Amino acid sequence: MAEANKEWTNIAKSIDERRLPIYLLLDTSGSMSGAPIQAVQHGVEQFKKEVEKDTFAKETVYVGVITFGGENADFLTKGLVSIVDFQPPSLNATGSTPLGAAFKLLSQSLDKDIKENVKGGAKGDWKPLIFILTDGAPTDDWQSPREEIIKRSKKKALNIITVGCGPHINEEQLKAISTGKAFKMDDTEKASFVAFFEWVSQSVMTVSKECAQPGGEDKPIEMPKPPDVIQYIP
Amino acid sequence: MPERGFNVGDRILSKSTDTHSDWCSAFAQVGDYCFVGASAIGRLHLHKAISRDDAFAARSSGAWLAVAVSDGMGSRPRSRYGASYAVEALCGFLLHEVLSQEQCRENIESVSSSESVKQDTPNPEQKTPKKSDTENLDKEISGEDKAAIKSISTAQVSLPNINTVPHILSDCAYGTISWSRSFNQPLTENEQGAIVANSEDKVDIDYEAIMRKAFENVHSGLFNYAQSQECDLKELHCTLIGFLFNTNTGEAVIGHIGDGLTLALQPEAGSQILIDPLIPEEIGATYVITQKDWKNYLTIRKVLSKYNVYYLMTDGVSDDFVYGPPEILNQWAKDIYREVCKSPSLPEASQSLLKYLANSEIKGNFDDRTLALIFLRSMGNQDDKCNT
Repeated sequence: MAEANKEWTNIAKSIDERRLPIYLLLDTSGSMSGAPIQAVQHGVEQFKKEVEKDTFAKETVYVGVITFGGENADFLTKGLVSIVDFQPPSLNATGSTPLGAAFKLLSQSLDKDIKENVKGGAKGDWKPLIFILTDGAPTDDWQSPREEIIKRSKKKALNIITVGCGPHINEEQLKAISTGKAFKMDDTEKASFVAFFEWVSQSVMTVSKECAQPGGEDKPIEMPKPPDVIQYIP
Repeated sequence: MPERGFNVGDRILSKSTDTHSDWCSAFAQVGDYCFVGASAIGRLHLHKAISRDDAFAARSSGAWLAVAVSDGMGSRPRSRYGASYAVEALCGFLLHEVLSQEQCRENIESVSSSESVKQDTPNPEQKTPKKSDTENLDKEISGEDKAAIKSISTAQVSLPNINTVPHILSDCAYGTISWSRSFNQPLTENEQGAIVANSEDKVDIDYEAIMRKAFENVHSGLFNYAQSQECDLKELHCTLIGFLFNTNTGEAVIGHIGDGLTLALQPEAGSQILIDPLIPEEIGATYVITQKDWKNYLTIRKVLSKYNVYYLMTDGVSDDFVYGPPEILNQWAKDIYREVCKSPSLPEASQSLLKYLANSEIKGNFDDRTLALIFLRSMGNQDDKCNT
């Protein structure tokens, strides 16, 4: 970008920004321990590096990371953090798969952290993108909190994209959890997770670029085609 | 003889060549008021290697100043054609309408006046030149002209010093910078008398009707222009803000359809949004002058007070501050006025404004940015306060 105009730097401006919220709901149950959770950790770090290099994404993307493992879910970022300030958290895998608890935290954040549009006034945040990565079936009630989120009639519609990895996923459940497309990866190898996070990064950068156009957020946005290792569940 | 005036900013595009530049700045002076305008391509359009869709224009005749800004819809590939047509045409129509009305008013007043109309009679002292004299007139140069020619040939033409070229512009393919000397001559005794007589026996001009008619003419013009461009009118979708201002009397009227903002500033009192345009419910949508029922969404307002500064801008600029607290809007208006007044010359003010629009990195704002100012000032004032 061209050097700043040194003469006119002290011009007032509003601090309100229009953000693209990205939520990563990550399975940290016991079955993900070892190499899989390390690969996920590495993937999150790669995601940050790729996205913050993008001109549009670095200004608009805000990240929230929610893990679900053990007895409960944990909002590791405690809300939405700009991609530039986002510090990839340390991930540990243990216990069960409380996806319902993760949905409850997500719902609270959608109420508290997302800025809504004001009719005739300020434009709020763009439609959030939510990626859910899991290697098995949820072990708590996930339907009710998911319904709560979907029934947000006065709030923004959401994009919930589910990706299952490994041999123990329930494809029908993955489709039921998502609001659009559901995907699967056959294994929990490092290469699969690398491919997954590269695709998430590309998707986020594509969406942020489309949203940057006037009126862009209201048009259906075509996400990049996932790599072969990630297969669409019809 | 027609009044002197200027025509600056973006121009109507031809069918054969797309000449809409990525950056444009302009400046002018009308009486005690100055005009400075600039329009910069947004970062999204730069990234996509497509054209700027915003446009602005200003035109004057005598004391009348017309200014317009327009934002072409990004989803329409030819919207810059609509925007550039709309601004130039609106300025022209506004001046035509107001000057026509003024002429009608003067005609009415002169007919109702008790003075008899004096016919022009030839000056008996003036000789009709003979044919041989006429031939000689072309060849003979008066002593006065000879002296003038000599002084011109030895005089240096002093042009404003423009150093503040934005970094981006150093790689530009083309550009035009043009200046004109001031043509604001002092009024003769007869002209002063006529104005006094007019103000005492005034026939009101309907400025809102002038603005409405000008917008109607622009819409019709856009329809014909679309046909000449062999495209549908909706491919030229654009917003439009128009401002007609008399720099002597301070009378002003605004017309507005779509997003963007018109603002005024009285430095001691603060800023004021001059018009509240109609906005659709759908977030991110806007009304345009090219839609079928555009008349339902045109807002016109006569400005009742005289201000030191007027601002017209597209939403690429207004989105920076308009939805924040009111003090941000006030401060922004004062900051811009302050910085413009600091420039030692109008050309440099317009370049600095362009630089601000082109280089200002507002997070999440990737749109084209266009801003026009009309203001009272004295140039080269280094103080924060501008003199009136």
